[in-house]
Amino acid sequence: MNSFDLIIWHGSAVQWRRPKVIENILGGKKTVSTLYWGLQYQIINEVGLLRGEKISFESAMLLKLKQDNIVELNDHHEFRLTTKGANRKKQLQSILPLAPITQPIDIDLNHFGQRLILAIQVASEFSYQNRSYYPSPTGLFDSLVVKNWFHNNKTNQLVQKINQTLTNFLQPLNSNLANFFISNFRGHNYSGLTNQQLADKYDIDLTFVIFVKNQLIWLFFLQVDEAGFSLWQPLSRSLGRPVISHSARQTYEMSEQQNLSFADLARYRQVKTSTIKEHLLEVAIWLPVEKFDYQRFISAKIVTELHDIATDDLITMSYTQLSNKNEIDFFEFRLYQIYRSKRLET
Amino acid sequence: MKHEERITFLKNNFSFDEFRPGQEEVITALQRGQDTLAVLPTGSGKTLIYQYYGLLTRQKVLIVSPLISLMQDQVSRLQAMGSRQVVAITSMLSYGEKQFILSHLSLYNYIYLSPEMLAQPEVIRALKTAKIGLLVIDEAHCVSEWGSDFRPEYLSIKDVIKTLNHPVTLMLSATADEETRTDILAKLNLQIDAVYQVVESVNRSNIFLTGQNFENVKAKDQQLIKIVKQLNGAGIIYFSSKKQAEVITDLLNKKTDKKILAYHADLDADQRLTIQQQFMQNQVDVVCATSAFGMGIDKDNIRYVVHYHLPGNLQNYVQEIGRAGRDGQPSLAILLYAPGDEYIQVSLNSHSVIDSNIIDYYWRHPQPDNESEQAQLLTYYWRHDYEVKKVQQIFKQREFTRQNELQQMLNYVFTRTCRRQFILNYFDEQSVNNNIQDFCCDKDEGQLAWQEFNKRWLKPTKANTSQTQWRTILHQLFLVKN
Repeated sequence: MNSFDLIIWHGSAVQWRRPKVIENILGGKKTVSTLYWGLQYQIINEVGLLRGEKISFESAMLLKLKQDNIVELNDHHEFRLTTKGANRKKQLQSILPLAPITQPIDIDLNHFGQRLILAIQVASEFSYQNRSYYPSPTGLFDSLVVKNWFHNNKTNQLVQKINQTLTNFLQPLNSNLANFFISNFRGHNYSGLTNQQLADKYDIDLTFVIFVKNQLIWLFFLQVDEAGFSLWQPLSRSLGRPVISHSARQTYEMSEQQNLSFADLARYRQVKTSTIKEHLLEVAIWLPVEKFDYQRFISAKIVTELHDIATDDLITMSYTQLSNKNEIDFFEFRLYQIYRSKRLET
Repeated sequence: MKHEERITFLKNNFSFDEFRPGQEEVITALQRGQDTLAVLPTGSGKTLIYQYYGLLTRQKVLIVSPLISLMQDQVSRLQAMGSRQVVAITSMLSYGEKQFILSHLSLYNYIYLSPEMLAQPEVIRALKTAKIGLLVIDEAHCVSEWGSDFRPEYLSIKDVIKTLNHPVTLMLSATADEETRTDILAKLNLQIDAVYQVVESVNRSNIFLTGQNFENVKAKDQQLIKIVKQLNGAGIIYFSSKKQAEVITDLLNKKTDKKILAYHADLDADQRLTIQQQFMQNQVDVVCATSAFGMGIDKDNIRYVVHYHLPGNLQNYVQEIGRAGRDGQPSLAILLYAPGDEYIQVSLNSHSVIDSNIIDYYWRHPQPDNESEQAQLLTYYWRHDYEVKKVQQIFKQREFTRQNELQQMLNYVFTRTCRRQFILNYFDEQSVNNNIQDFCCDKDEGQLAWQEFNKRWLKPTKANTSQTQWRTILHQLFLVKN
């Protein structure tokens, strides 16, 4: 499956970007390097948006985009959009004007999406008092969750509440996005559209269809979760997926509670010292800048040294470019880069 | 129970006014507690038989089915028919899901199972406590070793019948000649005299049979465009390759004003359901499907079935054209052939052939942990202490059967005599007079052509357009009472 639109959407006319980072972010691979560069590309909240989809930005694909004058490539396996590429990106943004995701995904979006589709179908058929229909395919536990949800909410008001929630969600959206979202559902005498039909309708790639679909489901979840609609909350039961890995969080909490060296932490946690550092970097990437105690991990001396390099390039500089790298640990360097990125953000 | 009572039960629970041929006879036999072997053509409502029995007797029904995709289609169909307590136990379940189902079998009235699952002691233990009232063996011809669809795991079913204290057993097949039926009963250790047999003809009198042969694929494609442009009503086109299904879908969408969708294994279950529903809601004119997935399409008023690629045997051909005209109205089957089409089947057949040397090697170096399909097949025989020569013979026989069946399929393509008679002869059936329908096939005297049939019998239709605006769709989705 080609993913031209996906790479164009995530490209920049200014910043050189590594396709592998984008691929890993969308696929949910959370190495520190991926997360850091995801932060720089401002796509970090998309981590796992296409988890389970076999997305791959192969070199053949990028070469094709280069041949078509959509991107330029450099010797560091990075790409940048040309004017033509930037125009295609603008076109995509105007057809489907998705706002950037403001919160990282912390549920299993695939399962939530399947439950939502089934729930809406069940409610739709219920409103027509119809029991004879092909239920949307879901896993056993997902269908049990929806079944329980339906039994617990099977009142005359259920249909009105669902209708209202959907209306409240769709009304403020751009009409293309609203029509796109609703086409993913099915119900009484309504079958929705296939991914291919959506791709043809909006003249976009198939993988981009899934990207848009998942973003809208996430957006929907955020809205109903925020509004505290108890109606929807059971549908996300047992689907929690922590943004910060459990192991990283344990390391950070332990480091906060006790004044331990990396070696001690490693011993207590029964992992390598390098793993402890990765955990801390991961936590720093995710936490708001004021919530992470940077000063505990980077000495004032190092801060001064790095501050003196203080060009705009520092946050995109690679460790190997640092002239006095023998005196600055990679961990400290990276942590300082994270700090500077987050300061810029705020 | 009297006939009128059965009809009342049918009307009240399934909204049908009458049974399809064979259904009542089978149900009556089951009600007498008699094991029954039913050979009923595709589209004759086999699922309803055991659903009816389960509902009537309030007993659990266990259905053994050879293909996971088939099972999932059947689970969906049963659910669509209003039975919600249905489950399929297959290798697609996670460990947790399987454990949950096995410990909650009491929740389910209809339990589908692949034959491999029956070999698992924990599954048998759970089934014993569940008290099965009816055991259904779907695609029962798979138990016959000489058949090309043979599944060795089906040979274990006779032990299951014994373990479950011989519940009433229903064997179902769309195609099984007398020799196969005798073999089925022998393999299941059932006394031939004790089993009631219902054999309905494979003949579908409302389907007009035709075929067209071409010099090359290009000519075939051109003709297919003409056919799709002209034919009235909804249709399916069958392919042996999903790539070709996609290519032709694109071609037909470009060259005709009909709405065409492709339907095959690369689409997930959710996407396939969307296509199915659009087809059923008359929003799609034609579905280009691979044979493996064509069975999942459940629409009564399909007016024509075109075969772009010939299937491997007449059994499959009859099953596939049987998708047409389930409403009893006139329908059309067109088989298109270009030289070389048969090589797709030859290639598919070769994948299932296991060379004698490989069999020999396996017996000397068994690989029970090898998960490939071929290895699994050999492992079964090896585990059941088959001698290597016997296994080699079985595979040679299967290869021969497949080649023979494909040759018969080609003979059908080139037949100069009545197509219907050809099929009936193949299934050892008597001749029929199909003139009650005023048509038979394109080899008839007078030779009605497909264009003429189309004009005379198939009514023009136009695909509905689906709603696109979210407000209208919401309004459609929910009947909100004020």
